[in-house]
Amino acid sequence: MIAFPRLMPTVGIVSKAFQLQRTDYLSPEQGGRLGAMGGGPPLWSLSLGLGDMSFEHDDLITAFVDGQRGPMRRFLAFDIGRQMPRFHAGGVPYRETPSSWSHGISAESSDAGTAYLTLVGLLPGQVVSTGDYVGFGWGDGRCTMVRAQESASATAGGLVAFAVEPALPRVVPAGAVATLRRATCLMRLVPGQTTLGEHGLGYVSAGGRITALQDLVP
Amino acid sequence: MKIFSDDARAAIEEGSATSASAIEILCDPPVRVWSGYEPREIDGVVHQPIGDAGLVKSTGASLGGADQGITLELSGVEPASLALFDASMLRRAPVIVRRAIFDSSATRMLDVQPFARGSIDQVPVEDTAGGTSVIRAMVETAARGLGRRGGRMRTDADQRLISPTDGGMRKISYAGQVNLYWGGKKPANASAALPGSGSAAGVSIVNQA
Repeated sequence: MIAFPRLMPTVGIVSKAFQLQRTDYLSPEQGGRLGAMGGGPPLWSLSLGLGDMSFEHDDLITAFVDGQRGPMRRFLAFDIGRQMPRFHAGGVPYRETPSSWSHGISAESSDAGTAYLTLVGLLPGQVVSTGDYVGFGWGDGRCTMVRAQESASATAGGLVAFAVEPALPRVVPAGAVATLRRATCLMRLVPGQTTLGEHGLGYVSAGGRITALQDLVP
Repeated sequence: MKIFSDDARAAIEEGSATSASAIEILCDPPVRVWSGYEPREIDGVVHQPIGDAGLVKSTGASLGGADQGITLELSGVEPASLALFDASMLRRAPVIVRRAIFDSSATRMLDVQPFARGSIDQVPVEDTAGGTSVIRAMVETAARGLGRRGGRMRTDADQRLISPTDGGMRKISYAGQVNLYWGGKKPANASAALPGSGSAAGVSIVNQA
């Protein structure tokens, strides 16, 4: 039996882009200021480039894409290049799940609007590096993630605070479970931009691409 | 005009504001949606999230001109929200469109103001096979016919909907037009002088009366 949402495939991937996409209503005037209205909170986008791969790996990728039924089903996406904190990826022990967390938006003039995340209950000295992800899970399999803007290390009491982007969406309830290991968010495939490589003689050629956009739901 | 709070004005001037729109349609049951991602209380009532940045598509107005109305466009919305839009319940329901200003993190609401009020005029649904599916809600503002009792009485066709034998409006179906021909040949027949046909040689000035 397959449980949905599935985890995204991890085979055959040679390149990835995991970025924030935002809608902006920019000023159309060339000489004017660039600043304008934003169109709401940003969403994560995922683009996976597929390289040459064996038929066995292609079977897995094809089954995944087929099973998503275009944009009908959600899947669990994560940054395949950063599945755990960078400092601890080499085996330095760390605690994956903080006992509690809090989130606030700065009102200082120097960093107005910057979102700060505070994690409590980590190991003393545990390091969060720039680019590390923190995932939040709640409700019926709902999840989203934020990315660290700066490096920080936990105090002797296991507390660490750092700036994150994007600001944690308000849809995340206060009781959500935070995790530092393989932070995921729900995504749907973007139809028309997900293509698979062609079968050649003995292997499947490069050129496939999987494109997806976050589906942020309460 | 709309008067935003100091915080919202400062964010707009700085270029760090984020806008969202909320729509309240007072049919039965009322539909309250907004363009964010979490249920949010706006002016005392909870609006459901549909996460659509293009909620309010077009609004327009010109001083002294005809009222242009508002088009609300919903595309790619959650099926749960789609179920709310039962077209048979929406007829002439009052609508309030609100515009909310957030800070740059898009999580802290600085201000929310009613942007326009009106009533639902038409709710066309467009499904393009292999393309997009869009629900549009066209909203009439108070400047256009909110006070009318019956159907609109503007053209002959509208009048005949009320009474098939009433031809009292048949001569005012079109706005009058006068074509002046300066230095050119007059059209050979009357049909060429009507709008939509090829223009005669020379300069023509169309004067809309």
